[in-house]
Amino acid sequence: MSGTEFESKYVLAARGREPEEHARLDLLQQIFDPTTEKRLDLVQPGWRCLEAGAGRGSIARFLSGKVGPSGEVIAADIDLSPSEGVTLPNGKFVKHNILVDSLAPLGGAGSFDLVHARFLLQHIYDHEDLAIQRMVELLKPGGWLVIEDLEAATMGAADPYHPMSEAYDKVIAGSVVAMNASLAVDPRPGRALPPRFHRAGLTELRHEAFLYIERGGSPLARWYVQSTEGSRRGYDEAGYSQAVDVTINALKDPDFWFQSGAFHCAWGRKPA
Amino acid sequence: MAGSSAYVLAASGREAHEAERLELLQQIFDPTAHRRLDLVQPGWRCLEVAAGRGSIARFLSDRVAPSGAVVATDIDIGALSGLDLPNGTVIRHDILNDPLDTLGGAGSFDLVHARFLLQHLFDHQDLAIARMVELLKPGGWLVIEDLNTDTLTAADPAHPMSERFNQGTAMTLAGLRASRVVDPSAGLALLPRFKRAGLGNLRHEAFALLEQGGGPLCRWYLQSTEGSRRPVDDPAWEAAVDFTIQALKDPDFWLQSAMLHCAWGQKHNGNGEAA
Repeated sequence: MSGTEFESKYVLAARGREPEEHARLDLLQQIFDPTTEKRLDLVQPGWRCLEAGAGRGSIARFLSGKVGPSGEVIAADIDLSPSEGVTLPNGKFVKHNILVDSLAPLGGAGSFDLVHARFLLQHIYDHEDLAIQRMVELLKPGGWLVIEDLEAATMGAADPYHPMSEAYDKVIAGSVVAMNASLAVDPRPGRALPPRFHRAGLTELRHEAFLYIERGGSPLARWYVQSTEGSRRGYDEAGYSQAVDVTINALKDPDFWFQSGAFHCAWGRKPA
Repeated sequence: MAGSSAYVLAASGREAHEAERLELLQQIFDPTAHRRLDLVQPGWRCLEVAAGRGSIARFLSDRVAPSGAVVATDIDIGALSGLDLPNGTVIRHDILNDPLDTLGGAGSFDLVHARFLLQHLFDHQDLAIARMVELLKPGGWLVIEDLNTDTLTAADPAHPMSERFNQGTAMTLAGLRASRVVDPSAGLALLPRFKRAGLGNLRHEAFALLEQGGGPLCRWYLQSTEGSRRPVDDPAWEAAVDFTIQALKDPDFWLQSAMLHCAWGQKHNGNGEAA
């Protein structure tokens, strides 16, 4: 098993398009941070927390505030350029691949009260159980694993009468099939979180999943447009450029209603 | 005449089973509905369309007491016979076809609520919404809850029953859609429908649950599947339904529920503005 095998498949790598990718990650934070902050309500002062796949670092900073001066936050990512300039008064950013790198630089096995990861599992298709297992290894007995991820299967047009709905649904269905085939992005990592947590030996399992119905031009629509454009090269090479145009046009039309992916979260506790 | 006679879970001839299924429905979904109806104030006049066994009508009756009133309707009020509300009335009524006068007439309600009704009205959902909006006072609220079965799937890719469960579910849901009797996606289009009905201050939420076989939700799906089962001359269909039921009983099997949608919308006041 080699590290490059995993890293090379990340379809939204910032390299060569840093300003666009940083804008996309900023919008991601604006949309999803309020939900994530609510989901991390369990975090207590003094805890030692790991944020895996930290991106631009807003959640690492949130955790840093929650745990206070007596706690510590480690923010890990395979690429630290999006978090350049972000500082943690009681922690640090570490370049780290959760699948293949040694756990020692993070503090080693049994060293965290909380491990959190958002939108990370979808990018490590087929290795989700391994990632969960390593995150569980990093937890102290009694520590919490909290993982958030998406489910693309719910994406689609919401209005049976809009003239673009049928074409939009066709493209989405096609891109989910293409994602599956590429083995680069798992379009449905969210729903499998509780069974994976169960198999990893975690207890006190809890889960929630919700979605939005929105109109073209909303923040979420803009984020989808940016994510589609950011990974566009891959689609174009596969001959999907016209299909991509359909989704982007629909997502810019305020009369077009769409259903988002589902935002799953699972909580599980390592037995004491 | 539209709608009513096609109801696939009619209680007639299976009253005890249907009563049990509706009790379980209330146990699972009432806490969510209570939260979603948090806007209801004392003194309001409320309509519960398709009241089933009446637990939400009872909840609304408490919320609006003592000066408010609740009207609970259904096309079959057999299950509502025991509902004795100090400020409530039970009326046999088909929202698509019957006159609105018997309910108090146009513009007479502060709230109209319906749960899991639209899915049974298939092509007549806009008509039902138009009539419910007509019943609202200016500034009154329409709150509709319904499902979208697009998320009803096995949750665990590693379980040996998951793939076949998903194939069977896809087949039965496609059959349901093609029958034009039950719309398995009714929850999906609530917001655009509300918008077209002229409602303002639109709000929406939708969530799904994950559960192991044998849990309350799995038991409810099982009862709903068995309750709507009709003899079909199609061995593949029968086998798929049998398999679904078997999976829903297996505690090692993980199920993702349908998405439970809710939309809120407010009727414009006399000035053409949302109140």
